[in-house]
Order: sequence, then structure tokens, then C-alpha cells
Amino acid sequence: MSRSKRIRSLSRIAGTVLKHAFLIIMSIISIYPVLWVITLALSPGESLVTPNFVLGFIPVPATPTLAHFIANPSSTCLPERTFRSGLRTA
Amino acid sequence: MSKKSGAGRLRGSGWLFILPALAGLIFLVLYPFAYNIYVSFTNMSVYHIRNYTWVGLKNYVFVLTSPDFFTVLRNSVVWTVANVVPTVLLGLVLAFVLNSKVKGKSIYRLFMIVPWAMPSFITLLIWQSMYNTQYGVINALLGEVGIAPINWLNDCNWAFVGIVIANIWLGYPFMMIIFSGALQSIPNELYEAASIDGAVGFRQMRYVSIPLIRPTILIAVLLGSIWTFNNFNSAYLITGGGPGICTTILITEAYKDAFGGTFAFAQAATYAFLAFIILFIPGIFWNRYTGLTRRAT
Repeated sequence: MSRSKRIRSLSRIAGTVLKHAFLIIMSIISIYPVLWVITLALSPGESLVTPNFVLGFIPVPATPTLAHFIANPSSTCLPERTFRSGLRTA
Repeated sequence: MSKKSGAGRLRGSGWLFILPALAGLIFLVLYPFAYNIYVSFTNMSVYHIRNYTWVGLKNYVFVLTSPDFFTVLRNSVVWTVANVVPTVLLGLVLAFVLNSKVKGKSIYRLFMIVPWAMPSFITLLIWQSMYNTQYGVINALLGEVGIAPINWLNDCNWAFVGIVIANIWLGYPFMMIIFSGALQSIPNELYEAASIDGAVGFRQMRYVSIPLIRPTILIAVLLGSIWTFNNFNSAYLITGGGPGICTTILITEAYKDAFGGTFAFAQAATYAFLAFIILFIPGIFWNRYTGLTRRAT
């Protein structure tokens, strides 16, 4: 393999690695606050600043619960509100 | 004679066809807009909710001579520029990267659209909690790399940086999607022809892609500027306009005037109309300079 070909293939690999690194970082930035929302939804209590972390930064519910989905007083209106949202979107 | 009446009938039926759209436009856009202008010339407030009277330019004089107005205006302009430039650039870079040969691009695209799928007011409250100086995850992560905690919500400059970061996070998926759509609409033959002429990689982007998606970029910048200038959620939900008026922009000031305790609806309407004028004039120049509507027609 000639030197120029090797350089070209190396630069192509480096480009691919850079692209994936950039996309992975952007994906993490994109979903991180959403993971936090999901964690809070599945955690007991009302606080916004009490998640547990996996690997030091991934938020996970310490004691997962569906209490917020069941005990929420407004959940009785959920079908009606969902219908209204759908109607408005349509 | 019969031809004339035929043309007249055609014109009449034309009006009939546009009547529903025209009615919608009048009742949903023009009337509220005109009413807002009218209210800005009255003393409508919680004390004069029904018996408001015409006060001329009093509200405009009051707003324009208030000591905070130019700070709020400067905040609005800086807020718009600081959001639109990175949002468009980030959206453009991501669109180019995702339009190239990358494995798993649909997964990446899915992840990056996620901010859009969540109600913005929920995610903005999450951002607020992430900015918490003591318990927030951002300071925790910064601490991991040896950076001292930042007082995100109580320091004037950092609060502004904080709401800008959150708004960029909310805004770039839209830019990425519309630029991706524009890039995908470029026929492949053009790239093939460019590569025959020796243009590959960056040159293809520079001489084929960018010129062809230029109209989309121009529209995105215009729409992005209008939406950001009038963006209430990000500018209000994280910091409430504070500390002081550090993160207050025109539209949050209008909200505060209308519903923040004083219920000064006329002043809020004045802010809203001033915001419209401030957006309208550069919008006209942008349209003239770039020929956006000329191209569309």
C-alpha cells in the first residue's frame, strides 16, 4: 500500500471516528434532560434534585414507582385531556 | 358581453373560495393585532378593565423613558443573536454529518429529535434544576473536571448563559430537520457531476450543497430570529427574568406587566407592539437583502 493511500485511509477512519464522537456527544446532550424527566416521573416524592446516578452521571430512579401515574388527582381527566390534545393537533 | 360576465363570475367565485381563509385571517390574526394596538393607546388595567379610555402616546412615553427599557431591549437582541447563530450552525453541521455516510444515522437522528418530543416547559424546569448551584448535575459534572461550582441562577451573566444553552438545546433539532430535508432534496446527479469536475468532500459542500440550501438557511434564520425574540418559555421559566432584570427580554417584560401583579394590560400591549416593530423593520431589510419572497414568487 502506497504512503498516500495509507494516509487517505487513515484520514477517512479519523473522520469517521470524529463524526461518531460528535454524534454520540450530541445524542447524550439531547437525551440527558429527557432521561431526567423520566427518572423524576418514576421516582417517589416531589423534589427536582434528588436522582440517583449510574456511572456518575446517568440519572436513574433509586426506588422506581408508578405512584405519580396512579395517584395523580388529574389522572382521572387524562383520557379527556388526551382527546383534547389530539383534537387540537388535528 | 358574455365573456365579461364570465370573467366577473370567475372573479366572484374566486373571492368565494378565499373567503374562509380570509375570515380566519381577519378574526384570528388581524383583529387581535389591531386590538392590541388599540389597547396600547388606552389605560386598560385591572382598575380599568371595562371603562378604559384613550390616553394617546402616554404608554409609549412611559415605556420608552423607563430606565429598564434599553437594558431589556439589549437583552432581547443579545438573546436572539446568541441563540440563532449557534442553533443554525449546529443544525447545519448536524444535518451535513447525518447526510453523509454514517452508520446508525437514524438512531442518532431519533435521539436528537427527542428534545422536541417533550413539552418545553417540563424540560425547562428540568434545566432549572440541573442549574442548581448546590445539587444540580451541571455543577457536579464540572466538579468532576475540577471546575468550581457556578452560580447559574443568581449570577447575572451565568444566568443569561444558562437560558441561552437551554434554548439552543430546544432549538437545534428543528434546524437540523429542515436543513436535512433541504439537503436530501438536492439531486444526486449534481454531486456526481461535481465529483467528475474534481469537487469532493468539503468542496462539494462549499460549491454544491450550501448554494442550493441557501434559501432554506435564510428562511431558517428569519424564522429562528422571530421565534427566539418572542420566546417566552425559555427566558422566563428558568430564571423568571432574574436575577434583577438580567434575563428579562421584551416579551417576558410584557408578561410581567400583564400578569405579574400590576395587571397593566395597556403597557403589556405597548411592549408587544414595540416588539413587533423591532422585529418587522429588520425583517423587511432581511427580505429585501436576501430576496426571499421574490424567490418564492
